Amino acid sequence: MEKLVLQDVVKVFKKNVGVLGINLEVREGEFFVILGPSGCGKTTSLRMIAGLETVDSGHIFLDEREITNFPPKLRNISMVFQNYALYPFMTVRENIIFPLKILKMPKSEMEEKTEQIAKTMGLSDLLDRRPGEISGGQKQRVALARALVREPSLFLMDEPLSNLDAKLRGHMRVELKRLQKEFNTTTVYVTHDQIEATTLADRACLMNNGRIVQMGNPNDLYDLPVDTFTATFLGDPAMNILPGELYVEKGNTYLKIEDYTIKMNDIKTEMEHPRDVKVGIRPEEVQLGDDGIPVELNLVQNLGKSIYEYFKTKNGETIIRQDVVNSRHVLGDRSMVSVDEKSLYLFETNTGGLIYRYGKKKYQEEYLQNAIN
Amino acid sequence: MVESEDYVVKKKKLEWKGIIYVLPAIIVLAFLDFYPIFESVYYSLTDFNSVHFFKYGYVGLANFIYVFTSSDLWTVIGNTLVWSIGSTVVMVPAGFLLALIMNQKKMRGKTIYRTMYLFPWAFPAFITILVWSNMLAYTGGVANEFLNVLGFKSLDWLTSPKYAMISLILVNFWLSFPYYTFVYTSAVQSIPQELYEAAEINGYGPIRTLAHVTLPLLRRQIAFITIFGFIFTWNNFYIPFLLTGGGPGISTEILITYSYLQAFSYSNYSLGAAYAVISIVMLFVFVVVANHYTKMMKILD
Ligand SMILES: Nc1ncnc2c1ncn2[C@@H]1O[C@H](COP(=O)(O)OP(=O)(O)OP(=O)(O)O)[C@@H](O)[C@H]1O
Ligand SMILES: [Mg+2]
Repeated sequence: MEKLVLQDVVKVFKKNVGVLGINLEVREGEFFVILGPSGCGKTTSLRMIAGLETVDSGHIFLDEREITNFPPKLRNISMVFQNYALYPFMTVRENIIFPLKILKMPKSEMEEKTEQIAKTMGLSDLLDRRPGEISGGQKQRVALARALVREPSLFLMDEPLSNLDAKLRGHMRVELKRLQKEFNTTTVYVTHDQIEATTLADRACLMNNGRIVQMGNPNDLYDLPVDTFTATFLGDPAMNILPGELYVEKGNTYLKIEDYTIKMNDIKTEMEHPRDVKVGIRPEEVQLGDDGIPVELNLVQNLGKSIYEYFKTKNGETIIRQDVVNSRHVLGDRSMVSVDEKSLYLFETNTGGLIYRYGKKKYQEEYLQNAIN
Repeated sequence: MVESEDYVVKKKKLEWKGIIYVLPAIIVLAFLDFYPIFESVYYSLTDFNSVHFFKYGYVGLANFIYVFTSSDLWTVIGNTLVWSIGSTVVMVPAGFLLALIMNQKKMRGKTIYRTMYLFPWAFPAFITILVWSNMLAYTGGVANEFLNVLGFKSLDWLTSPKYAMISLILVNFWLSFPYYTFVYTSAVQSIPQELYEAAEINGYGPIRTLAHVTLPLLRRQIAFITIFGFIFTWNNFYIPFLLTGGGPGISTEILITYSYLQAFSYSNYSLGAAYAVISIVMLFVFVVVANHYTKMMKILD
């Protein structure tokens, strides 16, 4: 069942474009992640769902009821803010009880619920401290407890882990996922961190410039990006993108990258004119061999469990190779980056849209034919 | 272990340096704060007046005995309390309220209003007070003409003991509350927006948000601003002096104007000083007690 639906939702700020017509369907019990770079409109989208920001046009439905113009308090939504938004003058207990205090609920029940959630969140010993007297990770958990105690219909989180250090963030990711499964509350989670997206999301969408670029299972976004934006946003280090040329000779299709040409056995096209394309190769799929694009090793970054090698091509393009072991090359060494048809992505030069991916996306004959460079 | 010892040594050195650094500030403060007070105390123990101008001498507590046995003292203290408390309880909350209204997210034209309420400051206070004095005049004053239009009788705004103090408080309110709005604006703005939004999402309306979020958050600032508003008003000389001159009778004399009256109108400097000393002692006691209960000084940390 659809829990939350956004239809063509638009928000325009005076000078900036906030959100330019997004469509979303979040399912009951789902952990849905909105992913995207800074300023793409993630927070704005979330705030419109919460009712903290008015909607310029479009519709929002929660539990099959239109809530587009409802004030926040009629939506039964909880939100965790990026900087926790705890009340410094209240104890942890008072902070957690805050959402209940306004409901017509017997005092004993309020206290019971608070104790209960504090136990779940491992906060029982901290109940009488103030936010100024606990650590960042503990504050985070208090903020979560305050959001969960009310048993909301929908749970919103805006980059809740971004203020934590790397180790704690990893820990809280696991914790969050566990909690969400335990409470089974539909959650919309905003982040710019792709690791959070891949580890937490049942489904995710990627936003850019106020629009949703792609939606789906995080692994699918990674495997089959619709364009160069998604392709380079997901994956660290980012996918290598090189200019290339596709042409047909004697019935066979070839891809030329700089001085190197490979035969694309999977592409059978009648196209008459050569066509410029962008070629994408994931760093972890870059192989060195006897044949391929001539490159020179430029920089090596050792991250402990993996190594990034930066190669420069003759035309000055950079190709990053990621591996668990060193290739035993030293700076300045020349070698060849071999390219395998099966690991390539081909993108349209102007729009960046995906044209072809071996076994996953069949090129459109018509599209290749009509292209004029 | 070694580290902590190092730390202790360093700390000691720092303390000495620190004292040297703050010494100029302490000297200036001592001069500004204590010199006038010592002088007043000193004069209040003498018979310094126009008769003994060149060879005045120590008279012990004679001035204070005189003051405490005169009936004027209690009237003047009463007036001072009415004036200070009366002004504070209207102008400080009004300033706070306006600051809250001006900081509403949806409020438009904030900058224009802010400029506007700074306007009264641009005029010299005595001119504004003179304007008010004309407006409150019994005949031809705008206030009475307005009352007449509405079908009420004219009031003795400044000339009857019944209304004079109320008029002073009214004028003080008009003159002062933009200042309090301004001071509160920065306090109100220091509250992060999310704290309001967290309340809003949880169903707190404006009144409950004020009671449960805004007021507790600003508790110390409010105490501080209120107490200083009170002290400032206590010593606010201009308005009573220029509008009513303490009259009719002594019905609007406050300690500070009465001290001035004794010293400069009657040339009884030592008596004036005695009134000033009483005023300072009362304020001092008030500040100590107020700070004890509100811990307001903590906002200065
Ligand atoms: N109140 C506002 N007034 C004007 N412009 C705004 C406002 N809020 C957001 N914007 C603009 O709308 C766009 C989207 O902002 P938003 O905060 O939604 O981005 P975001 O994806 O959450 O970014 P980040 O990851 O940095 O938090 C940005 O260009 C931003 O400058
Ligand atoms: Mg944001």
